[in-house]
Amino acid sequence: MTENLFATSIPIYVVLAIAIGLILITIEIHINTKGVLAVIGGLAVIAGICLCFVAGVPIIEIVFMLLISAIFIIAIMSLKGKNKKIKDVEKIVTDFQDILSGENNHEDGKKSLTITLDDTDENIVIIDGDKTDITAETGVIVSVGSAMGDIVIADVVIITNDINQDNDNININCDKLSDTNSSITTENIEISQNNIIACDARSEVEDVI
Amino acid sequence: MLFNSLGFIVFLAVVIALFYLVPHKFRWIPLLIASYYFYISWNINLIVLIGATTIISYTTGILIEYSKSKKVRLACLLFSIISSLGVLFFFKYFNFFAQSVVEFVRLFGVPVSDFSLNILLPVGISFYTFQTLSYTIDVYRGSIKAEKHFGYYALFVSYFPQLVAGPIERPDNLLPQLKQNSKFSSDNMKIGLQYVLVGFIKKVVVADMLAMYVNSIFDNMENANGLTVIIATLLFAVQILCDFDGYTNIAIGVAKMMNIDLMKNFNNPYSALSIKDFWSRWHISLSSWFRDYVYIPLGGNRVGKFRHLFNLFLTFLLSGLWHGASWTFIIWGALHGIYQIIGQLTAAPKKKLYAKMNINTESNQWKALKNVITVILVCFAWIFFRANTVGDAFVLIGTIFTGWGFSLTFISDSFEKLGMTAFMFVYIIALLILLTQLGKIFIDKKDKFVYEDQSTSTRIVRKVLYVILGFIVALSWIYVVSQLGYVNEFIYFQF
Repeated sequence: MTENLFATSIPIYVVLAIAIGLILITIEIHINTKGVLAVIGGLAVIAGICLCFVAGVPIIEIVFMLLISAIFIIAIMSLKGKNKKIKDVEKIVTDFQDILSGENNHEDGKKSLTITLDDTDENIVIIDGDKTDITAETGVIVSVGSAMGDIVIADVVIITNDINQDNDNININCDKLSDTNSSITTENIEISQNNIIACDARSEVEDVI
Repeated sequence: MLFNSLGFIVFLAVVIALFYLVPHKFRWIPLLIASYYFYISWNINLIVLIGATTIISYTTGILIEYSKSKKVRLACLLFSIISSLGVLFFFKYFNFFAQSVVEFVRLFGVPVSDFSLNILLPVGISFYTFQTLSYTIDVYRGSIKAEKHFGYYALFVSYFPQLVAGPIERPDNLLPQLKQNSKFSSDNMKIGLQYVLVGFIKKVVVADMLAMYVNSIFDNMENANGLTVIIATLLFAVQILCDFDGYTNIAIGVAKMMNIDLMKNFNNPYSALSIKDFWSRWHISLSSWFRDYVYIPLGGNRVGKFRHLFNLFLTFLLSGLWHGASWTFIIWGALHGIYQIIGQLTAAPKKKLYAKMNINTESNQWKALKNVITVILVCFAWIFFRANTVGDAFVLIGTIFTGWGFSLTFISDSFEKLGMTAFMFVYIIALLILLTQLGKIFIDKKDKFVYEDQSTSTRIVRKVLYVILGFIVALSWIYVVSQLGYVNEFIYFQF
């Protein structure tokens, strides 16, 4: 641990090439040049790596530079692309209650609910009943909100077996939703009493909850 | 054939090409041949074992379904279970039990010489044995129909992506998918490749790198002091997750390229808030197997309190034994069983106590504390799992409490014993940061992650990132192989 941390054999021009590449990628993410700067930036990073080989830099140091580059790119992507959240939870709750009471059916008799994602902070949890391993212990939780995979207290909890996502829209087919039950609890999901909970009628889903 | 070998890359390309070139009706043939080739590349004799297991479970499944006599059905089930477990016992546990008996007899002063057979542990035997057992039991319970087509059944047992280290698939999930008429899907191919890339990052870039430091303590006890044991144990916790989850990701990705969805095996296990929660996130296919075929048949929690606790303990004890024929694994399983029992017994008093003390159990701070305690307990058990012998494990645990120095050079000496330079320390921190960020950059349509900005710009930047990650994997692989002199196996292959 006493050695100089920065005693690497990476030439300065390699560091410059990679830095320029990363700056170009950052600009791309912020001003969107349809990928042009991203490609040039990526090429600059790769050119830097090739120069490392020419300069005889040890592999582990090359990997380290790539790691830092990857972490940097992920960080700027994360800053740009905020997690999508659910818009207007109260309206969703009302729509959902209408659907369950049969007041909001489509003309063809089908029931569905489309939720649009936005940047608000409300929390909704959708549990995909299509997963064959949905149980209290292994249920795959599809959480649109801030608490994916954690113990969740959500404003709306929907347990369904038919959901589709198309970019910002989550469409929930409610044909099989038949019951509301405010006492549903599982090992992984804690649901407060005031939540709207809809559960489809499939017995195997009800059994394990 | 290891996933992280160059041979596998060529093998996979050929199999995927054949899979889509051959008409749907006959696809099982190249897949079955590929699966058997994949398996016997370890040892050609293994074909006898997997073949016999397949034939026995297939035949008993058919007999169970067509027999009207309850006694015959039960006899077939028992025959299948006993023969499968018998083979598993013989190849995996015989020497262990024989040696344990010998050592026990010696305790009474009886001179007995060592006894063991020269048996090679067949790769993946625990995984496919459990898979065939679930098939036979499900047919007996009537929850699935027996598979009539021997080719598809043999493929279900030997399907190469998950053959040697799981996930332990259930017949109702895998069999129908093997039969479906899959058309080439560029989306699935893309998702599959993403899974494979993530798997390689976890295995080659993280797990194999950490293994070098973990081994420097667990395999060289003279390097152990309080600090090195703690660091090595924490690194092992990350290593085993990345090693096994990496394998699972590659298996899921390879299957996805053939439009087959394997079950999820891990769900952020180290974010668990209790040991019970940990087991709902760790090796899910095995824990759910034990739940469905051991714990619930024993009565689960629908029995008296004592029996319930016994059921829990036994299930975890058997889970430990499943991992390997060694007392270290048995103690590891037993420890988790004890954790669970303590958790059950203290649940109600703790709830009352928290209410009395006005503790907000929903607060982030409280959850963080629970998470830290859970991780410490899990890591403590990992010491037994990783140690070469039970004696080593106790020495290492003792060292944690006694092996501390108060000189200024203690820390630098400790890192020297780990073989870790300042540069490598920072490197490992960077690895761990990358590991925590992987979930943000890979889309899995099935899991419907919605973290992604779908603009053209972001998509291209993401592709650039994939290229960089590909370089990281390739160069890390070269580095690890050059350091070790061989391709590192997956830890769970030994089970």
